[in-house]
Amino acid sequence: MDLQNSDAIVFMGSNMAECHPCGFKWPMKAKAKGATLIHVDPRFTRTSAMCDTYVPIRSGTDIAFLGGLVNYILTNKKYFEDYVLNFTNAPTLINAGFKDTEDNDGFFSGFNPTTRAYDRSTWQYQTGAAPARAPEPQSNSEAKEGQAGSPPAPVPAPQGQSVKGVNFAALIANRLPGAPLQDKTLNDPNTVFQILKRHYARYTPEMVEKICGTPKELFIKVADTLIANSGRDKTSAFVYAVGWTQHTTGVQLIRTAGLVQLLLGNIGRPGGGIMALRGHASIQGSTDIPSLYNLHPGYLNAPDATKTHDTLLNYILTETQPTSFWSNTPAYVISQLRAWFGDAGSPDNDYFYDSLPKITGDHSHFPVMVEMSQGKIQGMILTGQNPATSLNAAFQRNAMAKLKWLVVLDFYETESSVFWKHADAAPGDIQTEVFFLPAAHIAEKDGSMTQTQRTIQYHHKTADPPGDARSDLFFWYDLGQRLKKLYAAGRSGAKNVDIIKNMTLDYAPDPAEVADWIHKDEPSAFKIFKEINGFDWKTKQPINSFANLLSDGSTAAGAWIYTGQLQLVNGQIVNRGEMQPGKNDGWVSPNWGWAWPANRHQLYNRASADPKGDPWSTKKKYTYWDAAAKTWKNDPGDGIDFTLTKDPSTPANPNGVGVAFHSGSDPFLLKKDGKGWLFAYEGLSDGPLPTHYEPWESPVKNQLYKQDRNPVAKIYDVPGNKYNEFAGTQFPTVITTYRLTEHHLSGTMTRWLPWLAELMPELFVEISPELAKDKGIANGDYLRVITERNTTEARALVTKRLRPLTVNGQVIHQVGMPWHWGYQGIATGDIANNVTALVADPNVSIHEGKAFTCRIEKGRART
Amino acid sequence: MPDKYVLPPEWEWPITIALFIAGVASGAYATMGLIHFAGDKRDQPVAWRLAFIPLPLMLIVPLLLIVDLGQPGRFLNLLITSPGAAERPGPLMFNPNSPMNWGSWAMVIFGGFAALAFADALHHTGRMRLDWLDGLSHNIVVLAIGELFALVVSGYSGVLVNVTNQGVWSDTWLMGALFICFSELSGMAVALLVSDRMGAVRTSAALRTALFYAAAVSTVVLVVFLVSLATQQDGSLAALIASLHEFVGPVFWIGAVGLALLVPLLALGPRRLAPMPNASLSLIALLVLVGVLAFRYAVFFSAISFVQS
Amino acid sequence: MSDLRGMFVDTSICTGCKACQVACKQWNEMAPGVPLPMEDEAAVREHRAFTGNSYDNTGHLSATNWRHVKFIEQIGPDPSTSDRSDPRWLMMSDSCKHCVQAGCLEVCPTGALYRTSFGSVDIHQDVCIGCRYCVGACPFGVIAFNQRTGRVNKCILCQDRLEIGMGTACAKACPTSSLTFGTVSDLQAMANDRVKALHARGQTDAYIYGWDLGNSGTITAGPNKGTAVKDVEVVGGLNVFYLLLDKPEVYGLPAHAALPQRNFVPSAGVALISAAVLGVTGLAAFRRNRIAENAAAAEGGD
Repeated sequence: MDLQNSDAIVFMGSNMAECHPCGFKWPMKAKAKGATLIHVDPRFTRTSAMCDTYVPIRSGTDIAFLGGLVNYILTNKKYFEDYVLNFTNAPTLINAGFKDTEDNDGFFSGFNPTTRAYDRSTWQYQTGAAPARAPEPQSNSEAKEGQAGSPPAPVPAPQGQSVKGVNFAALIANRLPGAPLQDKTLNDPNTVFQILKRHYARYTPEMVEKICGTPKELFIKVADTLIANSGRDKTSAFVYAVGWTQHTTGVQLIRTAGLVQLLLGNIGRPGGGIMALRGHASIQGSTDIPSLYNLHPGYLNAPDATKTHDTLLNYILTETQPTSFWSNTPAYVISQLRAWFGDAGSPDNDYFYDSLPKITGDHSHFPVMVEMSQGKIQGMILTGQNPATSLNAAFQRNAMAKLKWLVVLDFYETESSVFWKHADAAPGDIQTEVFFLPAAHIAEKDGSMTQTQRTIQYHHKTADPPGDARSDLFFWYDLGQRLKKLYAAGRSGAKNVDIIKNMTLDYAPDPAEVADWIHKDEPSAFKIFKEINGFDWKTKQPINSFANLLSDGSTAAGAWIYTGQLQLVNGQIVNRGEMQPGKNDGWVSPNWGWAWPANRHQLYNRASADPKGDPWSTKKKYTYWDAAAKTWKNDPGDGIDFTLTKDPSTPANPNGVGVAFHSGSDPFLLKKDGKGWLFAYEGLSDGPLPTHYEPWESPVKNQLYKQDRNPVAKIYDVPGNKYNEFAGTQFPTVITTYRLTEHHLSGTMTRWLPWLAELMPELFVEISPELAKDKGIANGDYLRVITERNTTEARALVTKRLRPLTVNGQVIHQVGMPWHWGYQGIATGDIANNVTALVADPNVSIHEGKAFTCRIEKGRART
Repeated sequence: MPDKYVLPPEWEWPITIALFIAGVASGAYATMGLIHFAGDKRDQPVAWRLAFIPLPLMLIVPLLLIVDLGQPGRFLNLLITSPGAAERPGPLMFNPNSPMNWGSWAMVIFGGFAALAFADALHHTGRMRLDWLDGLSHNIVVLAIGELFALVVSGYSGVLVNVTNQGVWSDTWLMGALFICFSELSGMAVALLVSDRMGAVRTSAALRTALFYAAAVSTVVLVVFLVSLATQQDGSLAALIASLHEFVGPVFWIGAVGLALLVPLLALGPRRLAPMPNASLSLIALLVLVGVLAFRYAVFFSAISFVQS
Repeated sequence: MSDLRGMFVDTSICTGCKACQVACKQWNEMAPGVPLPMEDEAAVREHRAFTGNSYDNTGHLSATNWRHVKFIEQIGPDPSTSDRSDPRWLMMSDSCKHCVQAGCLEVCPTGALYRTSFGSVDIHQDVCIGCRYCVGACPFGVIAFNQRTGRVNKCILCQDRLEIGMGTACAKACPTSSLTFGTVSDLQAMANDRVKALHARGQTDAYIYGWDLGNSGTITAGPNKGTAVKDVEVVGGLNVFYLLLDKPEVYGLPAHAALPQRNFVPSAGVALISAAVLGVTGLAAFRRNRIAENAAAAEGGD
């Protein structure tokens, strides 16, 4: 909604009008107010139709483009100086041993080719001396060396490894680092600022044209528009979605936009920032309260056997960042354990921490499917997931054929539920037992959703599900209860059953909630909502703020970031997930749902005021310091993302724990130094600065570095996953996949609905007239998309909205294929993902589905 | 292409045949009237025989028109206001803006006159004694009014075709006139056929001349029609050419123009190209009838829609 | 004007999402594609058709498509060259215009089509006989015959929703408010402001199709770049009217829509004249015959 305040918006890696049609009303409001809208994309889409300027780009080269913007801003000295100097780590000094990709042919210092990983010790800040440490008893456990590039090993834990009687505050204070050293003149060659300049020195507009195929004038127009619409009086925003995430350089790509926005001073300001458009109704919720292998709810890292996580104390000491808001980690972790294990947990048994499984490596989707293909996984439960149409789909279907059992919960008979119809083995030879459980739809159950603006909304059941359909919640709760019964009965041979025996699962049906409905055994979603929010363990009353969570076991909270979605007001429980009646909200709408954390809609909004606390301009006034009242204020009603009463002139305190370490003008609370990181010395596995690498499959070599591609990208050298030859001649066409408004994901919900099926009935590939003519393909003809993995057939939609690009003098064609089709439903078609490969980003394992190569031929795939 | 983005009403075989038959019926009645007015006693027998024709044809016409409806059971809504049409005044349904209503009523009333003519024919050909008719059927006013309704029946469907937004159909004011011309041609052809079969040489001679003149007038009307399309800015003539697609084109040019117009013009003209035995008059009449049917076909099957593609 | 309801369709903010099409079908419980029962999946599957016409697989308004979003690609000034300068993609949600002077209404011989108190044109489904005259009379090709029911269908401006004080389903669903429902006079004011605001931004292509509010401009892109455009009122005004960015024909709309009744009196008049001429020639034929006969008799006789 903040997009309506932008003076310029760049949509890149996003097709917002088509994929977020309802949210798109806000950029339209901005446009009506005179904002300039730009769309940078390989295809001219319905979003481009709504923008003032369309800019073509070769899919996968966004870092070159955005790096070009960084270069342009720095070269022309158009960065927002006050902001950069005070709010970012531009003046911070980096270890003198750091080597940039400019020095190392595309590598940073510290790369180990054997392990294909970076040692980050040369990327660290230069710091002053740390505060004096108090003596602590030695620990019994070893600090693990495992994590590459970690900060210096933590002071070993005191003796007696349990948390009983531990003074967390003292321990954390004992681990304060030295303050980062800075050069405020920005001249020292070791400053982040100078490193940044050197790193992007060759990302000139000419280079952008050579790499991206984007005409130089158009690139410069984008740069000038952003510059003209940033600064004190104006703000610009970037909007992105999976067009940026789904690359082997996905995370770095997004970070490059972060660099641009920090340099232009747009982060934390109304109409500024970077809007991450997440797609599904509650996909934000699915990482906040995740079923991800490496995260616990509230973005706490999962216990990891390769880190110093052997005890709860060591886990807390390893994970807690002494300087930044994360210093409160002990409270969050222990409150979570209390919620999960209730009274069975206590300081004596470390709140049952030991029973938690510890990860041993990468258990993301691709490695799991690879293991499944090797027969190492017995069973799988799919709730609203359709791997039979996922990347390298045939590989995944064949992997599923090795399962002993498969449970599918969904509304319709998805491709995965009948995967055995389309695997290499004959159905008769596949031993998988498949259970299909019909699932209830969102309107048929209570619950909450968290959408892309982090806004939590509670939704109420409005109809009974039909027939045997039941909610996912019922399935998991019932499964949990059955397992508890089985283990309580002393089922032999099972290891580590404490966790199941002792998990609270306090979600028993509430008679009042089920009174009007058929199913009286439906667990209470509200109880889960309350547990996630957090409550006092004794009184069972909701806690209003994560600031009130404690590490002594007296509070329980499933996810600290959601604390506040339930509030105790004058003895009444108020559900902030519901719209509060009768309140006139203005554009921030703080009373519509609850934006975590603490109902702060614009993160880091302290940055909308200058170091002295005054708004950068009247026009862009947002959060500001009221010196008389000695408090920060925000007139439109947004939550203040800063310590409410911290005077902006407060100096940094080298002995301060948590945000006390930061000064009164360090807006970035979650960062150790409170600054926006132009240079990321930790947290990312492929470099502190985004670097242009070619997609894993590309028709051209990298024009900037000898190292063509991301050296730490996750690749899978397994049968059935052969990659197209890099920069070869067999697969010269760039292909990207995308979505249409009319369908959703693999079409499991939409290709069964006649009203939607008829809008887009068949799989098609968008192809330029030039390429079509080359191949003798007429509009409407069948064509084949061919990669080393597979061949997919589709109808040709010949359109000038796709265009050939000139990349370093070579004509490169791009085609686009929506990925909504499969063999089930009313509107059926070939699976687009049959031709993609298992290859992923090294930081978060997201697949590279938006840029790869193929060969196009006229005709059908099979007669 | 003209400025038309319309859907075709899909009036095809039932409508084509029905209006052809209606044209024959009303044209026959009109010719019968002509003979009464302009002929003498020696022509009467032909007139009386001719009078048998309208009624049975006018019984078939509504059946075909009703069959073409999407809801045939509701055809009376054309005449009696349906209770569901709450906004219409009065018990009888008449929308003066709709040629279809004009035509429905005209056909009902004309049916009455056709029945009267039929009874008259029965009486005068000695099949039934209906003395009371004599005064009525030869009453000039009755005849004139009957002629008027026959006129509406033969022309209303042309006006109806004009009162649409279809390409070609609505680009000209000549459709009503064309329909009247072709209806009269078909009526005169039937009359000539009857007369020829009856061996009424004298009447046949008059009728052949009348048919010749009618064909001439019709040709002039057709030329005016083509010119009226050609002179319009938006390429209506091109639309006409386009509308005469596939089968429809030859049917129009060979059938409607050739058989219905050129044949009588060439064969029945004052300068005789060749001696014409009387039997060939029947042949010419039949050819004209086929030509008129071809004309109806061409009009209704040419309806095209300029749909945005 | 203040009681008349209608819609303003601002094509400049239409994203072509087709929510309007789906909302209409859902509210009116319509069958997909050709009119088939929704349960008949096999038949429904048969009628899936990829048209290859941009993103428009609906094709045309029909008895079961009362809304139809049109897509017009103008990627460059000439579709046959590779010039892609000033690209644009026009989108428009088409439906019944509920004309102030409605051709369909005028020709209906049974009173099935009628004007509601809101100014819209609705259909009495229990009266329609399926003669299809209205189908041929609508200058926009809107109203269509329903094979399954034997009657005609079109957008009825959600008459049942209007009667209980709601607006149209399509306008409610539209995410960018490209479709706005309201009183015609309010909408005209809104449309006028919108055209002026667009002109001020340099988008001089905008004009109103359906009412003449006095705006004029020039097309800025596409094959008709440079052509002058101005507001146009057709058939007495359209209660569902449009802001367009190119000539009407580009959107499949007639530039000069007119009532079929314009031809009624002239056609009838010309018909009467030709009937009279035929009458005269008929009489002349008989007279000529009599004269010839008499001459022959005079010759042949005594």
